[in-house]
Amino acid sequence: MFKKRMNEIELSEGCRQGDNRARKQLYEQYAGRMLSVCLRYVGDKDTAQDLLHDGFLKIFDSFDKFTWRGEGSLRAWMERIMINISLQYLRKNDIISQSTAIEEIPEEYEEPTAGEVELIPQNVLMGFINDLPVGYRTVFNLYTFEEKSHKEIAELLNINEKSSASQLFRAKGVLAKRVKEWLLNNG
Amino acid sequence: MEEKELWMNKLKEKLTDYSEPIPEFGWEQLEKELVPPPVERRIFPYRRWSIAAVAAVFVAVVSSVSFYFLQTPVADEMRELSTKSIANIPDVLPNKNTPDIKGEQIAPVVRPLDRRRKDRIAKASPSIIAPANCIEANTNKQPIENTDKVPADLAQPSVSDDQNAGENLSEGTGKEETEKVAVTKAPRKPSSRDKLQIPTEKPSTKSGKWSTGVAVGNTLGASSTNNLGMSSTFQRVNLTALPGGMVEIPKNQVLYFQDGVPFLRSLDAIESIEHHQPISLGLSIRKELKYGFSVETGLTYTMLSSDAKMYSGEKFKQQLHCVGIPIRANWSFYNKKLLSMYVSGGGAIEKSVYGKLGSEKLTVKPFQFSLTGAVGVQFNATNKIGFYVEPGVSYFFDDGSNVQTIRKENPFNFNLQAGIRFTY
Repeated sequence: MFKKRMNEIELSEGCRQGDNRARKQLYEQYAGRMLSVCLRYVGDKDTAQDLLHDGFLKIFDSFDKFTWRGEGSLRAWMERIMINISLQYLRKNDIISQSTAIEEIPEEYEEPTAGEVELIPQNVLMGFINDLPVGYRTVFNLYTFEEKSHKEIAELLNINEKSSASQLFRAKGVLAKRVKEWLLNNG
Repeated sequence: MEEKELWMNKLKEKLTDYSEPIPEFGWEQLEKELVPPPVERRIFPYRRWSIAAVAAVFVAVVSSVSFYFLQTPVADEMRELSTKSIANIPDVLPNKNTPDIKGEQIAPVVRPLDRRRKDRIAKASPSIIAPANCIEANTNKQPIENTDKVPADLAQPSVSDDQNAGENLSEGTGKEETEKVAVTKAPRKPSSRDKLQIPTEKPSTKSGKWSTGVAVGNTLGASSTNNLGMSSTFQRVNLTALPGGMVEIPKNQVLYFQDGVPFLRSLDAIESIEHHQPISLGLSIRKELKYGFSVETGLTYTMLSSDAKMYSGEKFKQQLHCVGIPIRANWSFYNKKLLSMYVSGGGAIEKSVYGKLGSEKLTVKPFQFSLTGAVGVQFNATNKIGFYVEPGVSYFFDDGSNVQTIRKENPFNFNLQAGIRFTY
C-alpha cells in the first residue's frame, strides 16, 4: 500500500531541507495512518482532519529535531506528534473533564475472545472506539496503544490514577459489549 | 485476566497499521501553508551557493594539482623513461659501417635533451633529415656523420629524436647537406662496443633535466660546448665538410647509434610519442544503500590521444577510443538536495573500440583493467539525475599490448571525469 521509496532516511532528509517533493511523499505515505491516530483520539472526522493538518505543519517544522533510529522510527515519531496535537486539542477544549459516565455501563461484562475480535473489520473496531465517550477513549488509547501506565495517563490528562483505571475498565466494558453485539448481528 | 489481555492485544494488533483514507485536497491545503518557507529554507539558497562555490574550488584545486603534477619534472621524467624503452629497439644491424675517421673536422655540439626546450629549438631550426631528403635525394646513400658523445643515461631518447627529425642539428648543416644522417653515440663509458667511436669526443656533463649530446660538427671542441647556450652551439654544426665513410642505408630505414653501435631502424616506427590528458565521459547508474553508501556501475568513454613522431620525421595523431565498465563503491559525505560530494573507489574494465594512428587503423585487443579512486561532486538536476565531476587517480594495469598510451607510460595517473548519473 505504501510506496516504499524514497526510504525513510531520504524522506526525512528531504523534509528537513524543505524539499517539497519529499514533503508531499511523506504526506501521501503517512497521512492516512496519522489521520487514524487523530481520529482514534478525537472521535470526529472533521476535527481529526484539522488536527492532521496542524500535525503535519508541526512535523515539517520539527524535522531538525528528528533523528532516524532505524526502520519505523520516522512513523513512530510522527505518531507521537499527532498524539500530542490531539491531546492538546482535548485539553484545550476541556473535553476530558466534561466527559460524563455513560449510564448503563455494566459492572461486569463478558470478555470476547481474540478469535472473535479477529472477525471484526478494522473500520468497525475503529467505530467502536470512536463512539466511546471522550474520557474513556483517551485513557483507553493511551493505555492500550501508547502503553502508558495509569500513573503516566493521570499526569498527562491531569486526572487521578484511580479515575484513569476506572475509565479504562469502563471503556473495555463498552467495547466488549459492542463486540458481542456485532457478532450476534453479523455472526 | 489472561483472556482479557488477549482480546485487547488482538484489538491493538488489528488497529496498529490501520489507515484512514487520506482527506481530499489535504496535501494541497497543507502545501498552501507551507509556501512561505520556514526559516531554514530561507537561508538555504545562500548555503547552496556557498556550498557550490566551495565544491567548485575543491574540484579546481584537485584538478590543478593533478595538472600541475603532469607538468612537473617528475612527470616528465616518467615520460622520458618510458619512451626510452620504445624508442630504442633496434631493428637491424647494418651490415656495413665505416665510421668517419675525420673526426677532427667534426665539431661536437652540445645538444639539449630536454623535451621542453626541444620544442622551441625545433621551431627555429628546420629539420635537415627529412625523410625525403635522406632517401630520395640521395638514392639511399648517405654519408654518416660521427658524433661525439652523449651522456649515456639520457642519450638514447635524445639520440633518436635528433637524428631523424633533425630538430636540433640544423641550419648550418642544412638543407644543402641532405646527405647526412646525424649519428650520435653515447660514449661516457668506453666499452668493447665503443670501437666505432671517434676519438675526439670528450665527456660532457649534464645536470638536472639537461643533458648534453653531441652531434657532428666541424672544429669545435667538445668541451667548449657544454655550457653554451644551445642555439649558438648547434648553429655551428657544419656537415658539409664531411667526406668519406659512406654507408648504404636501405630505404625507409635510418641509422642510429646506441652506445656507439650503429643500428638501422625503420622509419615507420614511432620514435617518440607525447600523450595528452585523457578525457573521459561517463554515464553511470547508482544504487543508494544506507548511511550514504552506494554502489555504481555504468559506461565510460575515454579518448586517449597522443602525438606520435615517427622516425621518418612525420607526425601523426594517435587516438584510441575506449569504452569501459566501472564498478565502484561510493560514500557520500555531503548530501543535500542540489549537491552531493562523495569519495569513491573501485575498478574498471576497458576495451579500445576504435583507434587510429594517423590514417591507419590501430587495434588494441586486450582488455585494460584499472583501479580507481576519486573524489566527486554531483549537481542534482532532479532526484534521479545528476551531473558529476570527478577528479581522481587511477592505476592502470599493463594490458600487454604494444600500443603506447599515457596509461602505459604512466600507469598511475590523475584524471578528470565528467558525466551524467542516474540514481535510484
